[in-house]
Amino acid sequence: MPKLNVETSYSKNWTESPDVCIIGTGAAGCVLAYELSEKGKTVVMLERGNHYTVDDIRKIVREEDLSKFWKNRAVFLSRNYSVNIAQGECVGGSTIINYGICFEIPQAVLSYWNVAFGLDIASRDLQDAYNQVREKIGISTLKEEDAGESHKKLQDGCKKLGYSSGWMDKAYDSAKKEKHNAMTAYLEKANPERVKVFANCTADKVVVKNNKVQTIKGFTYNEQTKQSYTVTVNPKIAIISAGPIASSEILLRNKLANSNDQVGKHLSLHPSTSVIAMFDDKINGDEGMAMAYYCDEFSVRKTNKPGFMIESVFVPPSQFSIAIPSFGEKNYEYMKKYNHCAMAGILVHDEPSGTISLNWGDRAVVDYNLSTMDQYKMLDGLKETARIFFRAGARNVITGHIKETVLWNETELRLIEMRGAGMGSLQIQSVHPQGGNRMGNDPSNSVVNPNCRTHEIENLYVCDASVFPTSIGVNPQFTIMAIATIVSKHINEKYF
Amino acid sequence: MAEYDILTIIFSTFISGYLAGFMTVKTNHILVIALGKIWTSGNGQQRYIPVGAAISAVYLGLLISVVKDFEFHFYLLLFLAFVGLYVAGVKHSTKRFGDSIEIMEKIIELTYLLDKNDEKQKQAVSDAQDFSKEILMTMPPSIAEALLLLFFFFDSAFAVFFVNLINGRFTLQRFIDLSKNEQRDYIEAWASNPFLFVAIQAIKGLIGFSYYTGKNTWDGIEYNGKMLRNSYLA
Repeated sequence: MPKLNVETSYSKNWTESPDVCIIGTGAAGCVLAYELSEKGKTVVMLERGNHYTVDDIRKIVREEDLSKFWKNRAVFLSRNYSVNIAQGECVGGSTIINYGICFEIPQAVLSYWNVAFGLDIASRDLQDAYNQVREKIGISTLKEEDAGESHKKLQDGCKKLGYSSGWMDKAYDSAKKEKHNAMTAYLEKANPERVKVFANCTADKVVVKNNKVQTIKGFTYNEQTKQSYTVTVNPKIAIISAGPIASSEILLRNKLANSNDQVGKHLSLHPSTSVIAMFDDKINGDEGMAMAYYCDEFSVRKTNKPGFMIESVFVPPSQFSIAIPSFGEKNYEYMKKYNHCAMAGILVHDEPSGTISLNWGDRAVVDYNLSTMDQYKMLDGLKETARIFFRAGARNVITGHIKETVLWNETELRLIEMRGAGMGSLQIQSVHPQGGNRMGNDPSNSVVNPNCRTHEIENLYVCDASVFPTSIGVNPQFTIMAIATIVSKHINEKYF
Repeated sequence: MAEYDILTIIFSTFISGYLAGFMTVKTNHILVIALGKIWTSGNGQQRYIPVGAAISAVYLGLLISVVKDFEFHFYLLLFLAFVGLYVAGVKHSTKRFGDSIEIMEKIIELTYLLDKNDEKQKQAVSDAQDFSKEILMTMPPSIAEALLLLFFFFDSAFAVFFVNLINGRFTLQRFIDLSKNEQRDYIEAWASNPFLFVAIQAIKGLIGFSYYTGKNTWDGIEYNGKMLRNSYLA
C-alpha cells in the first residue's frame, strides 16, 4: 500500500523540479496528481493547510480541533458580511469536510455551457470520467435504513406531495459505513516516489518568463523555531487547483492570465439557507447521516432551468444553535428539542454575479449579492421546504431568517415572503463556490480554454470549480473530479 | 501674550491631544474594517506613531501661526503636552478596545452560566470563552476587528443609554457595570430590536458555536457526539 509522501514541518529550504506542480490538494488536485503520476509523471503539490489522516480525524475528540480543517476556521464572509463561504483547507481540501455527495452535472447545464461558451465537452468523455471517478472513490446510493429518521421526514413529505426526490449518491463504503474522500481514494494510492506533498506551505509567487511558468515559490513557517523556509518548484507544467476564490487570488496576486480582466469575475456561490422542522416525537437526527435525501422537483434536473434543490441535512449542535433563531435562554429552549428536529437546506442555482478581488493586503475579498431572481428562488425554496415538512407531520417549522420566523401550518407560508430574502434577512451559507476563472473558447471573455489551460500562459492550467462558467445547480464535487480526470488525460496525451 | 487666553490654549491643547489620540485608534479600527486590510489594530499601533507625529506637527504649525508671541520654551511645553496627551488618548482607546475580549467572555457567561454551582456548566462556559478567543485569532483580521468593535460598541455607555432609552429605561453605565438582570434585559433589547438583531446575530454566531462545540454542553441537549463523527467520517 503506497504511503503518502508529505512534508508538514520544515527545517530547510526545498527545491524541486517535477514534471507537474499542483497548487492545492482538493477534489481536483488529488485526481490530477494520481492520474498524472500513474502515467509516470513526477508531481509536487503545495497545500496551504495541514495534513490529517483519517486516523487523526478519528482520534480528535474536541470539535474545535476539527475546525482546523476549514479555511479561517470556517469563517470567510463576503465583503458585505451577508454570506459565509465555507471551504476546506487541508490535504484533501473540502472533500475532507463535506458529506461526499455526488451528482452528475445536469444535462441542461452542460447544453447551456456548450451554446453560451462553446464548451463541447463530449458527453462520452464526461461519462467515462464520471465512471472512472465513481469506481475510484466508491460511490453508492444511500439506503433508507442507513440514513436516519430526520432524512426520512423529507422523504415522507415529498412522497405525499408527489415531488421528484430520492436518496443521494455518496462517496461511501456502506459495509464499513465510512465516507471516502479524495485524499484516501486518490492521493494515498498514488506512487509516493512520484507524488510529493508540501503541506502547511502557501504557494505565493508564480514566476512567468517567456510566457511560461518557470518557478512557483511556496512559503512555510516553522512554529517551533520561528523560522521561515521556502519551497521552490521549477515545473514543466503548473496547475492551480486551490479552489474557487484561492485560485483567482493566486492569479490576481501574480497578475497572471488576466489581460482581459476576467479573473475573479462570474463567481457563483450556490447560496443556501436552512429550514428546521420540529416534530412531537423524538427522531434522533444525530444518530443518522449528515446529508442523505434530495428533492429536485424545482431544480434544473427536473425543470431544465435554474431553480433550487432541497437537501436533507443534519448538523452538530454548534451549527444547529446558529441556525436556530433567538438568543440566550430562548435559544437553549430550542436546543433542548435538538433530537426532535429534521433539517433541510435550500441550495439556490444562482446567477454568476459575484466577484473576487484583492484587498490592500493582497488577500481575496468576495463581493456578492443575491440577485432579485435568486431571492425569489430562495423564498420559493423556503416555502416548498416548509410545505414538505408540514406534510410530513411537523409541529412547527423555523426558517433560516435572522428574525425569528416560526410557522405553525401551511396557511402561514406567506410569512416567508413577508420576511424576504434580501441582505440582512436570511442566514446564508455557501459551501459550493464556483466560477471566478471561467472556462470558454473565446479568449476575450474567459480565463481558461476547454482543456483548462489558461489562454495566456502556455504551461499554466487552472482546474477546480473556479473554471465552471456558471454554477451547476447540484453538489459539484463529482463534476470537479470528472473534469480533473479529463484534464489529466489531456495533459498526459499532450505533454512529455 | 495678553491677546490670548493662556488657559484656553492650554485647555484646548490637552483636549485636542487626547481626542486626537483616542480618535486615531477608532479611525484605525474603522479603516481596517472598511478597507478589509490585513493589519490588525495590534500591528496598526505602529501606525499611530507616524500618524501622531503628523498630527503633532500640524498642531505645532497651527500654534505657531495663531499664537505668534510665545517664548520658545512655552511652545515646546505645549507641544510636549500635546504629544503626551495624544499618547494617553491612544493608550486609553486601545485599552478600551482590549476590553472587548472581556466583554465577549462576560456575554458568554451571562448567556450560558445559568447555575453557578453546576461545575460542568462552569467548565463549558470556560471552554467556550477559550475557544471563542481562538476563533477570533484565526479569523481574517478585518472580520475579527469588526466583531471586536461590535463588542466594544455593545459595551459602551453610549449604546447602553440609547438602546435602553428605546425601551423606556434610563441608564448611563457600561454593559459590564450593569447588574446581572440589567445585562440580561439589555441583551434581550438588542435581540428584539429590528435594527440591532443582525448585529446580535453575529455575536450569537460566535458565542453559540463556541459554546456548543464543547463536550460539557452535550448532556443538556441529549447529544452524544455521534453527529460530529458522522459529519466527517460516515
